[in-house]
Amino acid sequence: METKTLNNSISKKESIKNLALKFIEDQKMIQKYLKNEITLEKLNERGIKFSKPI
Amino acid sequence: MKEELNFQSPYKVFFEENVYTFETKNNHKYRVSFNLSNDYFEYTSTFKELKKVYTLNVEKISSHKEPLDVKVQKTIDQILQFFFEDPENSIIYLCDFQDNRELKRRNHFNKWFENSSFKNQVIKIDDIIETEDLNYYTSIIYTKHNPLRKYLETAYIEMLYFLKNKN
Repeated sequence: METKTLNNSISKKESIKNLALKFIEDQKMIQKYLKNEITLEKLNERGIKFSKPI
Repeated sequence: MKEELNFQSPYKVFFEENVYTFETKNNHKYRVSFNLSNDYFEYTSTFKELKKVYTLNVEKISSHKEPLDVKVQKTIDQILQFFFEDPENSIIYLCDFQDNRELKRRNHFNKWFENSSFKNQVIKIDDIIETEDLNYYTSIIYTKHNPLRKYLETAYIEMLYFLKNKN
């Protein structure tokens, strides 16, 4: 029972961290693009979309 | 094609290849982008109703420091003012935590928001996902007249619930 709870706790932490890390990594890739350090194709490969918001 | 935008901003703003750009009196270039980010809500019940959820990125191109320039914030405010003219537009935000400065970033972000010119037009919801070793500070901002507001709020609440209560 304690092992299961511990595993669930680890799993929860991992899922939060994975989504948060993806978010942060995406932002860092966008920053690199804005600084002309990587190409738009690199962003597109990662599924990051640029668009005219209005 | 580079297009000059008719903003009431201290610095002239241009739009080129989906990025807003401006240059300060000290020749520092800034690039501002909005990236469609609906996909972060993929597992929520209202995902299909969401249309215009963006992340905001502001980047100073030159690395050397410049004295505090209040015109920079005013110019960014104008870009955001323009952004929120489409009432369906919204922004999600998560403070970078990789250098343990997330709380400072949250405070800085809140201070920036409090001083913004569009503060009274929008709703900002803040939340914290607490774990044993880290706090994740997150916010969502949308206009008071966003027609998709209820779908957006549901998606945001569900995503946070999922993250806080998974397993």
